[in-house]
Amino acid sequence: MKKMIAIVLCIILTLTMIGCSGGAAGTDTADADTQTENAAGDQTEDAAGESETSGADESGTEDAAADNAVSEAVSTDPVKLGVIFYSKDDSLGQLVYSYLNYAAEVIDNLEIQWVFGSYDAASQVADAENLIAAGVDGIMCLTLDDLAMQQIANLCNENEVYFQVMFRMPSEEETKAVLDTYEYYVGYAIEDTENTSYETVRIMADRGIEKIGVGGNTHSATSTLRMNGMEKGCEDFNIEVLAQFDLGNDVSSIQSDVQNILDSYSDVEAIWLMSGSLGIADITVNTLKAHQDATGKTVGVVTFDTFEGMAAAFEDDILWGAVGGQAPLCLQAFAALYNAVDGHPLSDEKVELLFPFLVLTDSEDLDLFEQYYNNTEVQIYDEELIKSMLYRYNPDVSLDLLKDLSASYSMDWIKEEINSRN
Amino acid sequence: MEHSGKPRLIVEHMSKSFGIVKAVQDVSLEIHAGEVRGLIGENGSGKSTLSAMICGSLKPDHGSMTFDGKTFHPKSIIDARSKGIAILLQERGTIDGMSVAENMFIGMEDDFKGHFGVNKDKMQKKAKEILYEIGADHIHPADLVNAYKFEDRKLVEVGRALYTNPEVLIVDETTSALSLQGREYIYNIIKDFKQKNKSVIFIGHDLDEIVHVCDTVTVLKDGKYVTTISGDEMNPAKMRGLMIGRENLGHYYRTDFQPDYDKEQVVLKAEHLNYKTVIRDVSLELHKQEILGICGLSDSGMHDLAKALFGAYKLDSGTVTIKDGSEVITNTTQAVRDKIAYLPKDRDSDSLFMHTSIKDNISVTCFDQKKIGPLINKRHMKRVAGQQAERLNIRCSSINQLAAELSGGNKQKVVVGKWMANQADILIMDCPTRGIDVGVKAAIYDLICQLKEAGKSIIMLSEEMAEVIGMADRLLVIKDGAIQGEFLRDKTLTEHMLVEKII
Amino acid sequence: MKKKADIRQFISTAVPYIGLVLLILISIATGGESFLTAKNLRNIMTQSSILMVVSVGTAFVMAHGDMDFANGGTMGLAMVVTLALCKGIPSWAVFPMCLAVGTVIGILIGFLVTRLRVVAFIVGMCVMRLSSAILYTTTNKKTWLAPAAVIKLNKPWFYMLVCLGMVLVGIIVFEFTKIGQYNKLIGVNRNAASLSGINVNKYLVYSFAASGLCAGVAAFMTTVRTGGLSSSTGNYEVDTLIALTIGGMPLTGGSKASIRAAVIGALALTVLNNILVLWGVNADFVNVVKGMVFLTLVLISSRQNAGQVTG
Repeated sequence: MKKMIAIVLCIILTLTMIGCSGGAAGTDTADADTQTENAAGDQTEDAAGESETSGADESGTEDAAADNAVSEAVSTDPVKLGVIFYSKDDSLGQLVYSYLNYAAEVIDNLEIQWVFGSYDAASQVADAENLIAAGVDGIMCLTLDDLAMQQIANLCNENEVYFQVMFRMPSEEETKAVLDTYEYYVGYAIEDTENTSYETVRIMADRGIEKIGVGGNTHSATSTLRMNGMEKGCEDFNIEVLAQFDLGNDVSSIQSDVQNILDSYSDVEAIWLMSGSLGIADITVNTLKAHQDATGKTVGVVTFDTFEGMAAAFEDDILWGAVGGQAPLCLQAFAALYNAVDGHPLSDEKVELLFPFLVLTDSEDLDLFEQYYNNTEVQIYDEELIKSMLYRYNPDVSLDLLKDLSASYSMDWIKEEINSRN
Repeated sequence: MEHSGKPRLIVEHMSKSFGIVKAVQDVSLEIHAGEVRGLIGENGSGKSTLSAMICGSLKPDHGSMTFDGKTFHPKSIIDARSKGIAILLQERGTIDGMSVAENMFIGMEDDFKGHFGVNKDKMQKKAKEILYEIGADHIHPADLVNAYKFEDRKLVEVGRALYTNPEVLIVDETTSALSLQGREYIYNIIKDFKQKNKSVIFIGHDLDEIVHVCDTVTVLKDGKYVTTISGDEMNPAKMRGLMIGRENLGHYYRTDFQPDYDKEQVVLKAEHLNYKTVIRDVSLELHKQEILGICGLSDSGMHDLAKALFGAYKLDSGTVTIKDGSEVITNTTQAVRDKIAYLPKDRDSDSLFMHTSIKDNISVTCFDQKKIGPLINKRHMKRVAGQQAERLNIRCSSINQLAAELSGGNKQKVVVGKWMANQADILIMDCPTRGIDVGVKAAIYDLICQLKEAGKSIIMLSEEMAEVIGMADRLLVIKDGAIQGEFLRDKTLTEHMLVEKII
Repeated sequence: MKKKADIRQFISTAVPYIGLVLLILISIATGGESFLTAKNLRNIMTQSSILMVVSVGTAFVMAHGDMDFANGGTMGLAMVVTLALCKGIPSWAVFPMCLAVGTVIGILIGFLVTRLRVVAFIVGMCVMRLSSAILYTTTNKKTWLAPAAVIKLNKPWFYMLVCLGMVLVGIIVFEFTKIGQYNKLIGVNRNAASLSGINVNKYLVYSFAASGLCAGVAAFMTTVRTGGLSSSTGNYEVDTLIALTIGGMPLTGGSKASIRAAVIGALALTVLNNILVLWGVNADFVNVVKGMVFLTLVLISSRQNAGQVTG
């Protein structure tokens, strides 16, 4: 019996594998067909001999002529990029997966190879090795730490594969110095944490707030940036921090921390949270809601991250500001990498991109956010916008163009952008 | 005694095999109303298998049964019981963690349906009635069954068997585990059955008891029907002869009747051993070339004593020493190093590596022999295992066969082989012939004699008094964890003399 | 007759490898040029080496039927302790240091399991948590770099050499010393092992020590590979379990346990991850393919000729 099952499984497996690998040499996603058509479109004539995809599809040839978006001058080599990401199942992962797959769909010579599920530096290095063996031209990665960053950069450099870091940056000077010496290291793209943090303080200043409590710590590079931005903001807007509590590992203590501040400082007007994830924001909002019900006095919250109970909290005017919406960053990182692979890097220097968060301040913002951002059906950066960032389609592209694009990124801009499409 | 009229229960051409072992082959029986039928035979002769088929716990391969003129094919014990045939089992048949009443009416819960599931009060009331009827009113239905000792639990089973008012009661080696008083309960019940013109099948080892209780006796041997005898023919000598298949028992046990050992040389000495409540101030000495028999009931603490002597227990007080007291045995590793062997009563769980080869089972004690530097010598181990398998005549396809596939007797040989491979000088054998058929039994007795001849010392613990009397130079009787008496080897020693001390 | 038995013996020893061989053959057939390059094969060796070394250690613990969830945590702790001290010790001492720390942690786990009767699985979880907490607090401020001499070892031959050495030593200790053999017997029947004179607790501690030692070696290899201490070090608990299982290691331990399972499993897992990327299997189907391959491998590699402890 057992042997029979083993044999049957073997046969199925062999067939599946052969099936997979047939398409595999050239493609990667469920939209494989569309992609390969595009990818193969221009190459079949002059690159058919060497192309790995040649066996996989013949259908592309007919469409080649029809696809006239590409000018003759532009290189027609296919570009294969590898993306190493921790998961495609959480909210950020879902969006990044959707955005980049969309890019692969609309760009005719692009192919993307995903690797998910690595949660330690050594595995990420292994993923990079495998991608290089699979023949990618560039790698994008949410590196888990400086070590992974450095090792992958080194590996890519040795193999002449471009490397772009996204959602992270070298947290130490030494790492940055090492990375900058690598020719094939393109740069990094990261959320504009410090400035966003500064802006969140402005929300409170605009409401005339003068005394706040702060939840946060400086345990990691990112939290340090957030705290720095907050402190700078408080200084500039003359806001006094009455008390600070640590957002440690123990989420359950948050409630008593907030309550203590409310009890000890009757003049506290708002709470600023360095992080709202893992239920921190929800707990804080609930505590403040109870305080509001009991005393009639409203103490507001401004927090990083978005969370479940935002709608009600905006409704009660307890939540004054929440921060999220950074996923399109991956497309800017992609643009930098693609241009480098394409032979037209955005800059001679390393590309350092800062991408703003969206700051939600009321229910209206939240509705737009849910409608346009938290929705894998919607492409915030459409085909036109993506192509405008690539030299292949827009020879006038520059680093400044990308920076302008990111500078304008806001809830209102998204609304305008999407409405203007129809 | 003659029984006229139609038989109540007819068993025809029953067969049952377990793998290659033919446990029961083409056995037919007729049981009449008001008859108490004895069923005897050596271990493995198929009497328990036969009774298990009659009571529904095993499905026969072939054969049919007729009960009160109707075809009788019980699907389970519970099914058989509801049709009028109940059994009292040899092994423990109660389930720990359930109350006495629940145990009594297991499978009969429907009779006590209340508004919400089972009506416990009703159940306990009925249980109380039944227990009163059989004279066991010291057992309380609401108590957990584990709170009672073996004997009382047996009585709970009796209650369970009687609740359905069975027409046929099977008593499967129940009495051997009971005290005299316990036995009386059972005898009374059997008498009562007889008076009500119901039938009893009585399975037993004690031939005197069989003569006392039964009207007729059926003898089984190697799974086959031998004969059925009644009246004057029913005498122990004749029955034993029929069971073993030869009149003269010959060299079954030791033939000499003189204690014969080196009285000067003590090889193992236990002083004032205490362990929880099961071993109480036990002291004993084992001499060179001595077979020391230890005899008692299963819960007498005898089996714990065996383990304690082997260093398997952390004793509360007392010491086990060897070599004139120069070395104290505190753990099993040391005991093995000092060439002590332990053959446990429960072979499968305490000694055998079941799904593992015979070779590994035997060579487990040989890892330190003939080492190659720091590495073990697998070739040597294989050779030793092969030698032992051959010497002990273990019936197997090869020494790579799994121990789990062997019969009880061959398993025991493997265990013996394991200790022989270690050249043990002192052997602690706990029930060495338990669950073993006659042939291997004789081989084991033979082996014990050989070991004695070779200068080894043996402690033989057993619940079967006959074999201890037959083998031991000196005999200790143990009860409630303490030694009750000592006997020297003697022709006139009988089981009755021991029983007095045991119970 | 004798010859026939020999052939049968050979087949039964070869069977567990068939799955791996099949996987590699399919990879060669379908991955084509990119799979069968010297560089890619080096990649596979390098990538599988750490997992293989950890799995070799874990095999000792699994032989007696315990789950080893401490290996990743032990690796993390070994790295923290060693790198914390590495300023004070010469570079050559980093390797023995890793080894020693790993072994000590293994012995401590052994004592917790045998003396205090804590379930090994739970102890493992605790070590895992402890390690991740310590790694988190030590690395979030500053990245710890390994000494330059250590980083220089980052060459494929280093991983292959260490891995080969550990597998060989593993096989010898597992098959030809009492440590491996007794642990297998304990896995079959702990009671009988004890009553056959095996000092069960002692050999359980040995098995945890072996696991700790291997985790220590793996910690050093990881340090070389990542160039320093990473907060994410040592996610090996599940991977080793998967690797050993697809290599044919029974979860209950016993006579079917073998080092071979670690070798087959680690290689198969790595080849699979590698070929999936080379093929460029759609990310949505990667897990489906993985699941099927695992199932097939387990069915093939779980040993048919059960019951040979001393082999």
